[in-house]
Amino acid sequence: MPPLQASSRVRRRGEHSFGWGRLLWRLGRRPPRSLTEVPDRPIGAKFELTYACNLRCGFCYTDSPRHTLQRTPELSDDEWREVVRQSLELGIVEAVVTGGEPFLRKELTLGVVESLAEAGVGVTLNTNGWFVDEEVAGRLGALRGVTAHVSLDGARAGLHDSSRGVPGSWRRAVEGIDRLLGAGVGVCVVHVVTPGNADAVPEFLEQMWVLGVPWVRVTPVVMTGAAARGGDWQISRRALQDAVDEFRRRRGGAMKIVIQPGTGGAISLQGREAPGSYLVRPNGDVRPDSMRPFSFGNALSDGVVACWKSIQGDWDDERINRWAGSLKRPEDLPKSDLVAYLDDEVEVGGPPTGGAVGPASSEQKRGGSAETGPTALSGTDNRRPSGGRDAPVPEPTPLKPVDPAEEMRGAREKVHALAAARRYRHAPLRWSGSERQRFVRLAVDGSYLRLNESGGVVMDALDDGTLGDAESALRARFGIDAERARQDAIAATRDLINRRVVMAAEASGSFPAEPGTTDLPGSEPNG
Amino acid sequence: MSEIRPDSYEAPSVEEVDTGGFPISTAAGTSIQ
Repeated sequence: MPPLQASSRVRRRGEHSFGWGRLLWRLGRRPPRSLTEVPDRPIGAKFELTYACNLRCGFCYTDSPRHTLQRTPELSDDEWREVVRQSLELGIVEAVVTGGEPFLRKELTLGVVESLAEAGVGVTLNTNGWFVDEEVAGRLGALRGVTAHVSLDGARAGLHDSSRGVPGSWRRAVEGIDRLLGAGVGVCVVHVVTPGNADAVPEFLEQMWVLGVPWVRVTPVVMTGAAARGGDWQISRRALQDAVDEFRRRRGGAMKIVIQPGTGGAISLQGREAPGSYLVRPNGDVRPDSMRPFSFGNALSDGVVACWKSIQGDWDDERINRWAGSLKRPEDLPKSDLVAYLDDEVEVGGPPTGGAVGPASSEQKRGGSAETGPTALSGTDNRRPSGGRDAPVPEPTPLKPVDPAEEMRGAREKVHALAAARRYRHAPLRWSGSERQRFVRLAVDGSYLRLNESGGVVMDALDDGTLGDAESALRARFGIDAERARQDAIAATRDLINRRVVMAAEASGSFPAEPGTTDLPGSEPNG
Repeated sequence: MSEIRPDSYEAPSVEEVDTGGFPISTAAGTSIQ
């Protein structure tokens, strides 16, 4: 008899209560992505290229603003390239490149993404969009299989900038997203939902629809790093689901929206679900994932192969199992005496010359190894960060008071102006038929499409034209009002892109990859 | 340029044609008869 599959409702409950997750496992109702043993070769890797970030998010799950202030040392460009080279040799098929803000190390980040993509690895690149200029967008657009995940926390600047702690960050993110879309890069916009912006989620989704974003991920705050230091981050998941459902009823499924599941998956199944990937911290320390603050050697000093072997041997270490077992629900995470990204990792594994063995001690929790002392990196130990509980963090920059309604109007205009000016071209295709009905054959896969008359008008307008051109063409041909033309042109343009009839004018010719690399076994939701 | 026909306007539609393994002329002809 095949193993029972839990209903989606029960599985969702298992994400929010660690006890439920463990119960489901005992009943044989494993989550669809679960691995029962660590694979010989890792499926994926997450590279945190830098601790530093130019923004000051109070909920930052990696606690990057604190590290930026501390100027925490990290691997050099050459050292990172060596870690990535070893990872490719080990056989990864997916990678998440992230920070901090990775484009604070622009050349390193672009080089790493290029080497991964050119090797055929599916790459998810996390960025706040601030530094996405024409060069960055163009180089990413020339690659296959790269998806940029860009953070955007609101439908207007005031919501995003207060969330991100720096004025101007909404404008920079929206313009960065537009440049990426214009270069043909797959874009997933990531919206961290907080009590301060939750009410504006419907308007936000509408704006992403207008902007032409193909994928949106909405996520509650993950209670690690800076978020665990304090603050009210709880939101109603039910209200979030209702907002997404209402959008789908109105707009259909052309813009894919994912509500990020809870953190229960990784923690509730510690000792049961084997990791399939690894994470490399900016100082080279290797962990199984973002949620478990336990290290398994250092990628630079020990080598990636040795670290992976260490994960294979020690992933269900009793100390990790005890830590995970003490957590009953996500709300317990910040109350724990060991919090990912806030406290230093505890070394539980590692090659023979590296990590400690034996029970965790308070000494280890402070970042050192009671038995061996700090792990030496390139002959020094100056890359090991110190704990972050009492460390100073930068204050957010105060925002000028604005009229929210007026700001929202301006945001709508800006987003539409960016979308309306983006230029498209036809994909390789042939078409025939009549004015009222045309048939299109796509060269990419030989499939056939049928377009009605207005669909043909939009298609023609997007041959070296813009969304604005399509709006004008619909009005000119059918005499409809401007708002109707705008709405229909947006929907039709999105449809033609999804069906691979048109693409961004500057795109390399390949169509963007799917939005995430997080559905493979042993993966974690990236952020 | 065709004449303006606001009353006959239909929102743009793009749909995949399932040819069922037949040439498109056959499949399309069948589906629009």
